[in-house]
Amino acid sequence: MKADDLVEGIDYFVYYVQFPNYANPSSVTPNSDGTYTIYLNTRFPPEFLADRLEHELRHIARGHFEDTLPIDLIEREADGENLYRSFFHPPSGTIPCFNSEEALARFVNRLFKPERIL
Amino acid sequence: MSYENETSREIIASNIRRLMRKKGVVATDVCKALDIPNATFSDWINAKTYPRISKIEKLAEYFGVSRSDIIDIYIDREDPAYEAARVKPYIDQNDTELLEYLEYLRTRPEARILMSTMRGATKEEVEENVRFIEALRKSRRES
Repeated sequence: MKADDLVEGIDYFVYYVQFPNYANPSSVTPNSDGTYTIYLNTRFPPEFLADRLEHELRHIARGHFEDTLPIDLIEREADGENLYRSFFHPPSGTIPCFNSEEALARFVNRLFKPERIL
Repeated sequence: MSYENETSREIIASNIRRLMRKKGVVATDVCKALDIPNATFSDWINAKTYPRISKIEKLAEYFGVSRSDIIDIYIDREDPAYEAARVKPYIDQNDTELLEYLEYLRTRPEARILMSTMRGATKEEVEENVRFIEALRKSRRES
């Protein structure tokens, strides 16, 4: 699914609210009826929040709540980064980094799931 | 009652309260100046109803601001954190405590949540925002 396929009011709802602090510009949470609610922190400028809305929609479109990738990679993917490409063809001079051996193992296991290979 | 209307009422209520503080006036001052019943104004600033366009224009004139200052989301551009907020979110991979907490939030069975997080954010700050969102969700479910 692509983020563009999601429809506000049907697939997701957006609330503009002032969070207690600046630590989080946005968040997304699944609802029991299969929809999602996105919260955007109004402490941040509107143009920044438009970017964050796209970020949260990518989380939904890519099924990140069910994903086995470590959280920092999930956030990078929601920012539009192509993780698989950068894993196999990292930019010159860089290597993919993981927080722990477990995180790397989860990532590799997911890559080589039978359904992904077939 | 749609979500959109609820959000609009909250934005307008928050803006009127902020403009009252800035001008140093109380509700009765505004009601007297604009010839508005106290109960009506109370509903506006408690986000129960929102004013009609003609009243929004009167409010804007009274506070000496534009109409959009009443109805649009307010950004405090004088806040020093405003500039910091323009930096793209980024999680420090060395902050394992925060990473573990964010991972826990994403996968906990009772209420999963993904929190986009700014550089330099602490676990305590994120916890505070999570509590806020959970309270918001609870109050909306109950209403």
